[in-house]
Amino acid sequence: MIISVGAHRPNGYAPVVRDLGTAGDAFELNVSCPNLDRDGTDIGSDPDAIEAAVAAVRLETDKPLIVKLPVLASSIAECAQAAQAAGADAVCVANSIPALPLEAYTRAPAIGNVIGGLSGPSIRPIVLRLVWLAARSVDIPVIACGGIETADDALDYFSVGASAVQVGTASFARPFAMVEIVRTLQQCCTDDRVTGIRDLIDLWRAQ
Amino acid sequence: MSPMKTPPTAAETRAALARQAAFAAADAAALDGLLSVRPAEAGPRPEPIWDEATVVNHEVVRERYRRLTLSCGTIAATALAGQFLMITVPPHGGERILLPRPMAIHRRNPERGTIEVIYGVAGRGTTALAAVKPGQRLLVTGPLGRGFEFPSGTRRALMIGRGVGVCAVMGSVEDAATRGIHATLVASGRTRGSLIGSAECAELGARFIPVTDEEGTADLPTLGALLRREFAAGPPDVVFVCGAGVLTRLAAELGAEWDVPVQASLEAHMACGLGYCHGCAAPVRTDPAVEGPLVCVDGPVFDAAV
Ligand SMILES: Cc1cc2nc3c(=O)[nH]c(=O)nc-3n(C[C@H](O)[C@H](O)[C@H](O)COP(=O)(O)OP(=O)(O)OC[C@H]3O[C@@H](n4cnc5c(N)ncnc54)[C@H](O)[C@@H]3O)c2cc1C
Ligand SMILES: Cc1cc2nc3c(=O)[nH]c(=O)nc-3n(C[C@H](O)[C@H](O)[C@H](O)COP(=O)(O)O)c2cc1C
Ligand code: FES
Repeated sequence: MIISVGAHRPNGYAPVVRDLGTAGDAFELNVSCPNLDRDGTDIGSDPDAIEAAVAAVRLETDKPLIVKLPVLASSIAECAQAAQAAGADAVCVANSIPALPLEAYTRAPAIGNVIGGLSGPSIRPIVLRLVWLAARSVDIPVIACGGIETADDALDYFSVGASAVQVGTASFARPFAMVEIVRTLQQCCTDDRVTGIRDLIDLWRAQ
Repeated sequence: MSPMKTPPTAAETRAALARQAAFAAADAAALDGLLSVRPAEAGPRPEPIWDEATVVNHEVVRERYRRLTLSCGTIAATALAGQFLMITVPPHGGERILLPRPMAIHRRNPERGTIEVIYGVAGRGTTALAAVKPGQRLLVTGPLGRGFEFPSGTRRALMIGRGVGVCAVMGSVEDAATRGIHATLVASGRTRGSLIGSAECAELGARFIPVTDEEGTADLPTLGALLRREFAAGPPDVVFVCGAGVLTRLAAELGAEWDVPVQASLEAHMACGLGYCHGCAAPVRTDPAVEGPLVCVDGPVFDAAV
């Protein structure tokens, strides 16, 4: 079990991880949160804040640490490098994209909070670019997350350097989406007589 | 299926949306301070499953609604009164419906392994759902949420539904029939022709009271007076309500007069129905420092009291 931890200050993560003690097998730090120490800029868009948050958590636990980065960072590479430098074991790219949807015709805000996170298939090309940029800039694995619905979508991300993928929105309509994706990926490997996704991508590139 | 109507003009759509917004605002105001999460259930909730349910029948009913009969034996056998489904709507004419839509389970037929849903076409999702043909398969997840529960010793129950909200209380009318509870269903709507529940009540031996806007019987003072007269000899032991905040308020007021509990089923925009997304905050007053209850898992049925 991976426990997701959020906070509104860089020093807010470590106490939570400490309090969680032996619970969970790994932690994902959701740094796509407004930083109340810095006028609400996202913690995850600021490499210094990321480094501070991750370094403090690193002192609290030996369990694997994933840092989940936001879409709106001026340099995703610098953010991923900050996480790596502070001892993260992987980064997850990315969270949902802040958006303001309106109702048709009345143009009233479509969601109660006015602003919310856009997820699902429409964000895939945006996140693909970020995964590509992040994967070139760090040595730790990059977990891709954004609009994955099928094994094909997952392979898109693997082909730009992701080591693993996460599936969110697609599971709402198809609760077994992840199982299907894993099965299809296994089938692709079997069909092409390779043992892993990396080999699959190399093989397709070579063809 | 009904013939294609001409699409509404932008002005008509704007007017309809303005009516909807006004209704939603009145609804929220009426519910303010009424609701609380129900105490722990007596028994365990049935485990939700997902199922590729075959569409057995799909027909227009009561002028403006559609009845969808689905073959899904497990849900038919396990669903509790007042629980709901998430229906994943297949793509239609180039339109992709990303998120599933919540729908009350109107009828359960465990012998035939079928359930019925009645819905109105509201927007993109239900428009695409209306195109589904018998024999097609629909992905459904359920049964979900917390249903209506009769307090022990209930002998008489009052159910009140507005529009398609009748469907959320119909399962409790079914339960009343099997438990020998005397049920009265008030169906409120715009027109007589659109009211849901008359045939169902005849089948289940429940009393059916239609009230409509067109006849001037559905407004709150008139309906309140009617119910006070109806139960003058002795109040019901419990009231279940769904479909409008103002009706929930009326039910809560009657409940206070009669000194009986009231349970109300709510609607909310739902992305998952499973408690994952936290997008369906319930209009329940809570400590602002802690996250409040969710309509999909803590409800959709809540206690309502003035
Ligand atoms: C527990 C539960 C049970 C329900 N049972 C039924 C039922 O038995 N029959 C039925 O017809 N409908 C039912 N609904 C409402 C139904 O889910 C919505 O009408 C449907 O999701 C609309 O989808 P759409 O894509 O057609 O509309 P959209 O395009 O999503 O929306 C069209 C308009 O309807 C409004 N709207 C959409 N969803 C809701 C909602 N959940 N609550 C209030 N307003 C909404 C939108 O704001 C918009 O103005 C239920 C909802 C819940 C939460
Ligand atoms: C309703 C909803 C709630 C979310 N809540 C969180 C959250 O609490 N923490 C987090 O790190 N990401 C959260 N996310 C973001 C997702 O984990 C994911 O990064 C994003 O939705 C993109 O992936 P997807 O397109 O597969 O959904 C949420 C997304 C949605 C749709
Ligand atoms: S609909 Fe997702 S938590 Fe309620």
